Amino acid sequence: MTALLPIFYIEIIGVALARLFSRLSGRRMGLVETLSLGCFLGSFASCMALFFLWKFGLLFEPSLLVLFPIIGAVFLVGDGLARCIGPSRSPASSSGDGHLSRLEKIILAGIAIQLVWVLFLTVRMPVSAHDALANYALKAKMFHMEKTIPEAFFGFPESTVAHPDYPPMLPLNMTWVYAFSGFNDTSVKLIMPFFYLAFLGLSFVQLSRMMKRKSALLVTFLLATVPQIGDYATIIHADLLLGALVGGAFGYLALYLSEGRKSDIVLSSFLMGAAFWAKNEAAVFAIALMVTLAVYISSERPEKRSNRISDMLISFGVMALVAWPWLALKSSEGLVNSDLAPSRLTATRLMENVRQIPIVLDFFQQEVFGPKKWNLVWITLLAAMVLRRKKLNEGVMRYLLMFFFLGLLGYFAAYMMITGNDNLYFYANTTISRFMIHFTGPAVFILALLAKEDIEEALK
Amino acid sequence: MNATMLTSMLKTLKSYMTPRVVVRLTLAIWVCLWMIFIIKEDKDGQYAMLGYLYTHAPAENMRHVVGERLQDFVAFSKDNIPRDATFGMRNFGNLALGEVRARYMMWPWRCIGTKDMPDYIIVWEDTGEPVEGYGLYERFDDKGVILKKGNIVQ
Repeated sequence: MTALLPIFYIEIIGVALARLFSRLSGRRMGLVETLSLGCFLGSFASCMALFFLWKFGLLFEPSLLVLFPIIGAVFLVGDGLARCIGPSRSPASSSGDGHLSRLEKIILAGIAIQLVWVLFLTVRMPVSAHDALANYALKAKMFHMEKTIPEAFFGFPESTVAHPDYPPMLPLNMTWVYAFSGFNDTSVKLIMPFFYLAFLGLSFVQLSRMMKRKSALLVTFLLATVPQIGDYATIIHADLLLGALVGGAFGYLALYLSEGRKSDIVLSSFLMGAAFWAKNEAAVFAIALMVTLAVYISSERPEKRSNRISDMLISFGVMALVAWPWLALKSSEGLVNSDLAPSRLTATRLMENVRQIPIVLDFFQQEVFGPKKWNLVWITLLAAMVLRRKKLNEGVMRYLLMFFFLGLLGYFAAYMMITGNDNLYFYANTTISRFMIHFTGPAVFILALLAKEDIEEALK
Repeated sequence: MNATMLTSMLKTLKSYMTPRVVVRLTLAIWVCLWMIFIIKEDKDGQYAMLGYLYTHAPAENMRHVVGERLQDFVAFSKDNIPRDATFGMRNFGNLALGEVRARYMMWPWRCIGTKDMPDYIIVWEDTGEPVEGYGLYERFDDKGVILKKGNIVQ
């Protein structure tokens, strides 16, 4: 449990940033949104703190790092903590304000049971899974023991550390925890349930602005109980972090498209920019976001378009600014993914990959129709798309689907461009169930919007 | 059963399967599956493992999870390989997981590929096959050995 204090520090920094954003943008944030968003803002900020300490040649000393939460706490005191914990006054979330109904209490109890289960599986199990050790925990151990990112780290061979080109957010978050708790590769895992809870909280807040609170709670319960999401909250893996950031960005995009609030697109872009620090796959979603926004704006009435163009430019700017330090480092260090390097793609390899498309599709259908990892989420989404097909081209739904399918297309294209030593069968077999985590937040959101009236009717 | 009967049955079914019923039915199946997958072990021996982890000290847990031999061999290697030396790993066979765990536990001792001629090679399962340029340095048990570059007499 020694990780609780450094995680609390992350939350303090994040909540302070959320309040700062709220003040600057005039946006009202409820408690759940402030805390959930605070997790991701704080996680990103702690990652930035360590990254820039390394850049400036300073060591990861706790005496230095503690200044960040102290500054955050001072800001929060100044800002008035009381206002921060006030009730949410955002328009849609007030639709079910007041006491919780019996059904809401039952749903909340379900979410609580799931959370306790996740914690039960997490708190005593040390980091021991293959990718968790190879891709994240070893890096965090290196950073912690060296109190910095070791010299020439990004040039280390694969035999020393796997994939030094992978974005460092999760290892740096773990390093942050170690800096205060000392090296403890069991308690550090608590950071994953922390992300999981924030993912659920943020999804609930976003959903509750588009549907009744009861329905939003139910959909949040569905998201929480997707087995694959719960499982990845118990192990050190950046897929859940990326999934949460993409899910959050998607939710804010949906809100922006339906309500047109600038602060929503800023938050969406921020989370998408931060996703670049979690996994390289964020690039696919960032492109999907940019294309979706551009298409949306081009279809707007001319009198609204200039405002929307300014929103789009702000969005691209925020994403670029947030992602830039990492992308600049990748470029300067010449970091290339060992499994996917377009410059090494030959026509022969491309054809070999194309020939294996049926294998990828077979894995995909096994995931979609197999309830073990996904319960009914994909089946329900497909059913909702068929039964509520008239909605697919209505309002914001067409743009949300555009984002979703552009993302899928991007992943499919990436599979076709695989250049690693193993064949596509190997890559699809070992990655597809993880990659689908990245799409789960958006999928559940789309499902909720497609079946909104049906869910609300069923809960009456 | 003729076509008229089938059509009539489908109509009756459709009249019962309102969106409200469909959503409730889906939720009921969802909750059942959720409970099943919570109760059911994700992997064989998961509950036995958790039982152990909850009844033993955290320090013993890593040892239990990764296996005693690996933990002891890593500790032995750290005791015998100088801190500033590089090492490689050999004959971990299908134990890719074991190799990754060993590399993780060995840090700050730095692992490099055996092709890059590290100062030492940790051999998980010694087959007696000589490794060019290396000789026996320390023996951990009947299978596990550490080879040292330049020690050509085995």
